[in-house]
Amino acid sequence: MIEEELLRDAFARHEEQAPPLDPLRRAIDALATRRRRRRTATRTGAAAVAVAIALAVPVQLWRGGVADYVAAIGVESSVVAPEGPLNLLLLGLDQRGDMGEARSDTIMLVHLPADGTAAYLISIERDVAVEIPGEGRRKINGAYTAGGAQGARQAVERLTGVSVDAVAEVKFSALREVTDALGGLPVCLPQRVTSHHTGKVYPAGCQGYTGTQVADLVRQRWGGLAHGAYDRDRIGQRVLLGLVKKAGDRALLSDFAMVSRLVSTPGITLHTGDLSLLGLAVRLDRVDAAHIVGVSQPTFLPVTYGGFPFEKLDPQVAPKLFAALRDDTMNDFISTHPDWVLQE
Amino acid sequence: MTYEEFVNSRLGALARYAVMLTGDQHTAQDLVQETMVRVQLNWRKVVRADAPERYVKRMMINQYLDWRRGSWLRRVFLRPDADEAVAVPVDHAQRTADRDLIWSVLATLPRQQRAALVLRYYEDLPDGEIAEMLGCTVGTARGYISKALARLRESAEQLSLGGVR
Repeated sequence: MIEEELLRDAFARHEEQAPPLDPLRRAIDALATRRRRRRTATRTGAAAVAVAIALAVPVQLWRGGVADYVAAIGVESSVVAPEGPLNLLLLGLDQRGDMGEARSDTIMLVHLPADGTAAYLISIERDVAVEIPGEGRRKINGAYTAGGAQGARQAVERLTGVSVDAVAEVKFSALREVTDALGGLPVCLPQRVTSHHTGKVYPAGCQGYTGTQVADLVRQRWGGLAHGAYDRDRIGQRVLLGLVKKAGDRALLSDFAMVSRLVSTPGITLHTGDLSLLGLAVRLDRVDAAHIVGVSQPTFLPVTYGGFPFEKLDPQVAPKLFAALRDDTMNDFISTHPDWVLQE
Repeated sequence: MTYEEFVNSRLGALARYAVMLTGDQHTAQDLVQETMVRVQLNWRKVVRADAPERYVKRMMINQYLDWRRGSWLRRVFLRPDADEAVAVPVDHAQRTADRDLIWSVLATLPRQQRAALVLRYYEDLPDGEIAEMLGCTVGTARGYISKALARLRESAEQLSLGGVR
C-alpha cells in the first residue's frame, strides 16, 4: 500500500529532527538531581544517623548538667558552629555479651558539606575487608571489637582517607528505649520482612513500630532480603528517618518529660574530640530532612581471602566516592553515580 | 548494564523514537527528558526488566499518551524553569509539499493511533507486541492502525486534489 511506504519514508526522513544528545543528557541529569533531592525526604530511609547523633547530643548535654543545658539553649545564637565540611561516624552496635564481644554492625559516615542544608549518609558494608595494624586483614566490623570506637574510627579513616570529626556509638538496646520514649516510630518498608530472630513478620508499607519491633527489625539480614547487610543498612536508614520525623514532631528539646526519659537511656555514647557539642548540635540543626541523601554500593561483591568471605568495594567507584567526601563534592558524585543513591 | 551504559548506547535511538511519536523536536526533547529522569531514578527496577530498552520505550509511550490527560502537559509546559532552547535545524524536506503531507496528517491523528503507526512502521513490531506496548488488546491495536491508515488515505486524497501526489 502506498500509504505504508510513505509512512516508512516519512519516519525515516524525520530521524534527523531528533534533539541533540549532549544538551539532552545534561538536562536529564540536572532534572534528576533536583527531583532526587525532593524525593529523599519521603522515600529514602536516609536519615539514619544524623538523627541518632542529634538525639545523643541533648542527652549528653543533659548529663553534663541541667543548668548548663538550659543556659546553653538560651544563648544558642552565640554558639559558634564549626565551619567547613564535617564527617561523623555512626556505629550501631550489636551487643553479644559484654563490650569485648560487641561488634559494629552498622557503620555509617554522615557527611555535612560546608555549605547548604544537605547531609549525606554513606553506608559502609560491615564485611568490607580492611587492614588492621597488628591484626592483619579483617572485616571492618571487627575493628570495633579490636579497638573500640577509636579502632573503628581509625579503620574507617584508613579505608576512606576521610578525617572523622566525631563518633557516635548507639546500641540496639538504646534504639529500643529511644523509640519507646518517643511513643513509637513510623517506619516504611519496601517489602515484607520476616525476622530471623523472632519469626515475626513485618508487612510492606508504613506503620508505627514499638521499640522492641524496631530493635528486632534493624538486626534483620536474611529472610526475604536479597542483598544481605546492604538491605539491613537500608532498614536502619528507614528507622532513623522515622526517628528524625518523630523528633521533629515532638519538639524534642522542649519536652522536659521526654528528655528526662532519653537521659536515662544507656547505650548512646558520643566522642566529639575537639568539637563543641553545642556547635555540633547547631550544625546538625541546619540539616533539612528533605536534603538527606543515602549513599551505598548498589551491588554485592563477595570475595574470598584466605578462605574467609569478605565484601569488596567497587574498585572504580568507591575511590571516587571517598575523594568526593574529602573534597566536599558529594553533589557532583551523586549526579554522576545515581545508582549509588538509595531510592526507596 | 549500568545506567551510563544504557544512556551511551540507547539515548540516540530513544530521541529518534520520541520524534516519531511527538512530531517535533522540542516536544520530543521534553518527552525523552521526562522519561529518562524516571528511568534514572528507578534504574534498579528498569534494569530488572527482561528487555530494559523495550521497558523504557513503553514508559515513553505511556508518558506520551498521558499527555492527553493533562498531567504531563502541565508539568512540561507550565514548569517555572524552561530549559535552554535548542536550535532547530532547517528541515529541507519540509519544503516539499508531497513529503510534508504525511507528516502533517500524522499530527492530526489521535495519539493512540499515531503511536500504533510508529510501533508498526517505524519499530516494525508485530501486532501482539504493539498491543502490549499500548496496553490494549490486539484487536484494538489493529483497529487503531486501520483507522489511522484510512485517515491518512482520505487526507492524502483531499489534499492531492490540488495536484500534489
